Amino acid sequence: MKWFLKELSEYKNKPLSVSEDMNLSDDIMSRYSKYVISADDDIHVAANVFSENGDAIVTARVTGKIVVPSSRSLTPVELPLDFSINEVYVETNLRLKEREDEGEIDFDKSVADNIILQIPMHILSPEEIETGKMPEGNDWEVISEDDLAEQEANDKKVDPRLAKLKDFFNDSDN
Amino acid sequence: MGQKVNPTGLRVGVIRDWDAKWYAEKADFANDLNEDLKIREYISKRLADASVSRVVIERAAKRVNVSIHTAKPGMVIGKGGSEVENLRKELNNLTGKRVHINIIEIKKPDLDAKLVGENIARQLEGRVAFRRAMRQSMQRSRRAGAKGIKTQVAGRLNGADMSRVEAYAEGTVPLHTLRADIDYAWEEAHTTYGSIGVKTWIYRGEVLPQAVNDAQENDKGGK
Repeated sequence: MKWFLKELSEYKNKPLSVSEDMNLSDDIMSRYSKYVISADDDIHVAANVFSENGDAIVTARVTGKIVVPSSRSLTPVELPLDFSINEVYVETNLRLKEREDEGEIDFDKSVADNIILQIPMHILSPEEIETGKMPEGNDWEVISEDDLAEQEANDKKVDPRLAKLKDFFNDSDN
Repeated sequence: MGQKVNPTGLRVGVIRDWDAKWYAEKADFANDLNEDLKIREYISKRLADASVSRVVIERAAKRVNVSIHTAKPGMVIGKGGSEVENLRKELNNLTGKRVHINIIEIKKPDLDAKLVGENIARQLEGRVAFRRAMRQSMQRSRRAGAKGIKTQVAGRLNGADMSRVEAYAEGTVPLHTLRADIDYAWEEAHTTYGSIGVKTWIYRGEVLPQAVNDAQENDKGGK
């Protein structure tokens, strides 16, 4: 999906509506292969493009799915995509300089960028969510932050043999 | 120009805890400190992609407890625990002591400045437009419960000829308030155009330390 700003100037009152499947798999994998296992070959994009005072306003809905590794066990987890993009492409001097004589909107890159941005930092497989089981082994274990807080709270408990020391100063004051 | 102090360093001992929790006699102190630095450097290199936020080191006699706070324990463990077993062996060799590894899974990585900054840096390396990356991260942090967030990127943004600095903020980030739990991190993205620095400040709300609470309670007692 690429449009020249000039050709979009026709769509002032009525938007340019586009609905198509995009193959962004290679692009996403080349840019973010460490964090993505595979991406759908056909990611559906439905977009409306308006032109207003020489700027282009793009609203789009993206649906599809990608497969990412679980953050707890690295097992593949399907991540459904369903999000909207609202972007304004402004023809400023800086932008003109960047694009030189092209004046082109590369919406493919925007969709791929937004798909990468949808990948959360923490994702679990449905089984991991259900069981909540943490892996452990020889001299290592995984614990949750809640368990750590509980452990620390227990460590802070005063040894019962020393509990009476609490009253030491009160007695001596009297 | 205003003088700036690292928000983390300013709060250690007030509302933040130390990352090294041990005591050593004068003769052992330098060796233990040096060992700590080696452990941290080794972990940061080996687990560069594992979203490690903090490494806490505790010591007891000939034993070293290393707690790795991470959003992706899977990357630390590896398939079937192979990576962490190797890591433990390497740390045993490095220190000559028995090392126990605790991996702590971070529940809300969007509230951790190091992880948010690192995520933005990785996205910049993946050629994502810097404003999109910053905006998305800030929205996520706010949704996760941050009371404020500020991000700043500096360098050849989007491959521009001249480097510059751009910062965006949402909510409040009261850097002068010591009880304000502000997490700060600096990360670097290595792009084809050069390095881009990413700074992140996340305000997670106010913390009243137990000591302050106790003091207040005593005051109420009229002593």
